[in-house]
Amino acid sequence: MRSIRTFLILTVIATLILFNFIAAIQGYRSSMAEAEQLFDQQMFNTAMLIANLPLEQNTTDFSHSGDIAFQIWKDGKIAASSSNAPVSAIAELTPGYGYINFSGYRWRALAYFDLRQNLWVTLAERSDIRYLLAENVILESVIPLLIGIPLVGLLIWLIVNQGLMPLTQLSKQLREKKAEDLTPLSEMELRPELVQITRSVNSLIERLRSTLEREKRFTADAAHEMRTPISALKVQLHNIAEEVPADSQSLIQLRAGVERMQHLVEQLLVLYRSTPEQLAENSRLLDLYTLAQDVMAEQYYLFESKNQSIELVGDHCTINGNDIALTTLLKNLLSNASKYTPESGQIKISVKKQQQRVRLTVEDSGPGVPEALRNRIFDRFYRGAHQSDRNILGCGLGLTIVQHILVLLGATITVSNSRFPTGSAFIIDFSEAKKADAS
Amino acid sequence: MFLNSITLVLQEILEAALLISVLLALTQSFPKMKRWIILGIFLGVVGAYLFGAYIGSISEWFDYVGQEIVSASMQLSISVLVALIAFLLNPARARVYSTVMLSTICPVLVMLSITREGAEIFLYLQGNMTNSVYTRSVLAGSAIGTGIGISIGVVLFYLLTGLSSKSYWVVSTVVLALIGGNMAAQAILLLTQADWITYSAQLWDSSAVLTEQSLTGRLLYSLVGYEATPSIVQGVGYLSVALLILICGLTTKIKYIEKRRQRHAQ
Repeated sequence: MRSIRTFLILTVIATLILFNFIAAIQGYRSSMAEAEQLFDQQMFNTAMLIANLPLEQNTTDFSHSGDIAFQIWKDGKIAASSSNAPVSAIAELTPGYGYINFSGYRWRALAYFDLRQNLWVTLAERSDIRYLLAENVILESVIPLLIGIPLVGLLIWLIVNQGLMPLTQLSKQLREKKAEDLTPLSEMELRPELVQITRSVNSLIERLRSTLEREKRFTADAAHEMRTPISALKVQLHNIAEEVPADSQSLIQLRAGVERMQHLVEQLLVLYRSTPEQLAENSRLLDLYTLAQDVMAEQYYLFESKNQSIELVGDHCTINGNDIALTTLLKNLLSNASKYTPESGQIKISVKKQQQRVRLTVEDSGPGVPEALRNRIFDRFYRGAHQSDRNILGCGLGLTIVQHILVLLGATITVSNSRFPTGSAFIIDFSEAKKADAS
Repeated sequence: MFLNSITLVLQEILEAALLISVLLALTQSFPKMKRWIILGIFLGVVGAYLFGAYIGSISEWFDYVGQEIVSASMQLSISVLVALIAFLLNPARARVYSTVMLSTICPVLVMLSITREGAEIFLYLQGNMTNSVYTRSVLAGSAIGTGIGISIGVVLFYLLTGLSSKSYWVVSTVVLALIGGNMAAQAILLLTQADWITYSAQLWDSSAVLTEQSLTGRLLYSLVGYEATPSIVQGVGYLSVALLILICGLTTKIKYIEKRRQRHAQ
């Protein structure tokens, strides 16, 4: 994924560098050519000056710098010269500029004829010094450009960041929006470019809100509509039971069928009623150990009917959650454990604090869940692989509901082997409630 | 000194920047590949320093042609690895690479490229910074050369990633072919200088039109491996490697497109 910010910063800086530096090179080249002309003009002026020097003066007095050498030619002979000038002619005695090598350097040479004095002046200037001088002057204008680039880069970075701020804020607003928060995004202080996006998101939120509202209404209506006929069926079943013998196979199967249907409807309602909004609305601090104790007492008849032993161990740990959802979760886990544990089997619940988490473990001495099926058991309407599992009353939604609630609570579940010789262990890790949560 | 520094540094930086840009563009969908390429850059800088610092000893190897041989080996390795990248990443082929394979080739390729080009810059700076008169112009020129080289690399990267998936791969393969061919031609020149390859006749002489030492000449040298007076062996080497990379990168794609067309026709 390519970031818009990086793209803008890098391409703007790269383009700026390319244009500025190429312009600097071009500027350097033309400035160097200009400097060359300037130096040549200066040489010419110097040659004119030398032509007017009195020839009687001692030649050794001329030129101490070593950067300029000259010769004065009169009647084809050297009449005077600087001490650093070569013995031979610096330049051919034809007016104009050229280059010559002597004394281990390259020199710019000029031959100048003075009509008034009727003499030739040949003048030479060290080429490397002219070049260095010109380059140093021109570099003075290039170096600020180089120093300026990091500063300009920093400025571009700040400007791009500032320019993208509304986008960053919108993205932050969306990221921080909780799943249950269906309020529209604020359109205040929005840049025109972002108005359309915000409107589209708001329209999507509105549609989602009305869909959820409809679903909630449907669930409530369906609950009412489906429960009433089932209750009527149960009344009729009770009436029939008085008319036919109690051991009638048809009656037993009819009763089992109605019970299964009632269970299915209840479970379906639980599954679709638990939404993030509902959980958030009724979320409070709960003692998981006490809650497990209450559910265990409430469900005790299940274990008693199968002569199973149940044990609760651990500490009082506080978590943040919805008591209805957590009760449903515990009920489903315990009824599952009881269903799949044989007569006189063992069930153990433990609540323990582990670092920053609270761990709830429900273990049984049933047949256990093979490793390959451990992911599938949370699928909707999945029942055990064995025929014996299918004879157990249930609709295959218990563990789906457990997982659904856990996702909403932000907890995790893992399935492993129990500490009994056979059986499975359902391990759930909740975040421990912090003190701030209490407020 | 200023212009010389710009041209030399720009030439070296540009060669490495082209390769890194194409590699980054080609591997952008691979997680963590950017990290491996950055590791390659880091290793390359260390390698360039070591190569430059021990150039005296390296030169003594292979009967005093060590520098040429080591540089040529690095360039030939770059050519081979570039061809391998073109072969492995060819989008028309089934996934023949593994992430481990790519995570090894990419940093090695980048490291070799930066070691070679970086060592040249290191030696140039070391040679010219001793004369303090030129320090300013050498540093300013090097900074400008580096800036232009990296900027061209950045622009190339975004140009490549902005292309449609069809032309994106074709352009990338062509750039890889130019890099591979250029490296092979340079390696042959070095091996000829070391007398490991016999001297062959000159293919052409375009020095009157464009010298290698000019800024444009140096830019073209980095971009397409321009030489004013290449030998026949260099020309053959360049073309063979460039063709090999083009074949590795593009041929299966053509077959694949034909197969798809046939499938659609059916």
